[in-house]
Amino acid sequence: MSARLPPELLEKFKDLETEPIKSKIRNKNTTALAQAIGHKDQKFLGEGATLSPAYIGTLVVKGLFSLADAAVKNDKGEDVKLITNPGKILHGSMGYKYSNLDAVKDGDVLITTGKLTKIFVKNDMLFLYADMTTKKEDGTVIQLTNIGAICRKGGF
Amino acid sequence: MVKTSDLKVGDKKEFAHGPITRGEIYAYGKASKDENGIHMSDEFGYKMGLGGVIAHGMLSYGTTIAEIENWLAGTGKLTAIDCEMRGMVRPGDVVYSTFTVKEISGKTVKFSWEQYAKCPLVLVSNGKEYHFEGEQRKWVPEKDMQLVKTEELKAPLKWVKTVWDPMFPGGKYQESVEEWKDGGELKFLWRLSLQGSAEIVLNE
Repeated sequence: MSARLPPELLEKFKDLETEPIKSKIRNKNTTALAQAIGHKDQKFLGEGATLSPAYIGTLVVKGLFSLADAAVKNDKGEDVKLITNPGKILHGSMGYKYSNLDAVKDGDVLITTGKLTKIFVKNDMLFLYADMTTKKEDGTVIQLTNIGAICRKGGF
Repeated sequence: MVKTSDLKVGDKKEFAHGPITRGEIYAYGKASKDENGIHMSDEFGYKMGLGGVIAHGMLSYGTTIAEIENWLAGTGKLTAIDCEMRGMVRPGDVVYSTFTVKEISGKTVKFSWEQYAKCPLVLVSNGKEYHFEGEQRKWVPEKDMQLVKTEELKAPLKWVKTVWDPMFPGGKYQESVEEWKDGGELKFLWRLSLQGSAEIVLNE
């Protein structure tokens, strides 16, 4: 329970859509990430590389963090922001289902959309859960994600 | 080569990664474009009440994904993975992931998995005490004191040596991965960092 965000106001954030994240896939970026996490299989490295399963997770996180700017109107018609200090947000959980990763090529554009499915305050922390989908521009689904974040006391 | 015929329910596959360095966290932040200050700046991490930088959850998770793919080496692929982030991972930690086979159906293998972060605190060797960053910066909160363990070193200990520029406390630093070969008793924090399930599909 938060004085600034009583349950009835918190409920207004549910089903809020995350900002669509459009990402152009570049081999140099996907390879940099694959190297940063220790991939050794050459299929994830260099020209013509397959997308690491870990890559799209980084796009999804951006979508979730876009909620930091979300606001709803209270009874007085004033904007009330969900998050007041994004530095207090921690990534809490995630689940990925991959399909067609092999179909993503250098230069493709991926679009990640999603919406908040659950939001509640417990133990002085704000819990946020969202379902997100990452597709190619032609509609091919690449990844389904459910993701959770926790905003610590003082951040909401 | 990994084949379903070589696996049975209850089998465990273990991976270790680390010690994680600030350089590695920084490189991941740049590569993933997640440059949140709690990962990139000790000063900001302190301001946020975290006692310095923490690794991206996606980094310790990503290293595990890479370890699975390295293990499969093209003989299959990861099709699903989930986890809850249960504890922070910090510079100097080594993360240990254990995958346990729960179900095999055709070429699909399902696992449960968990990852523990081992944060070195104090080494006692030849009557001397050596304090690691985790101890110096008080990274073990009161509630986690029961997770502190000790062990006799049986193999060289890799650890991260970090030297701060006195002109820039919390800012510029130099770090190197060192190896302690003289044995001793290590006190460390053993904390669950990730826990979840995963699914792979093998070619054979």
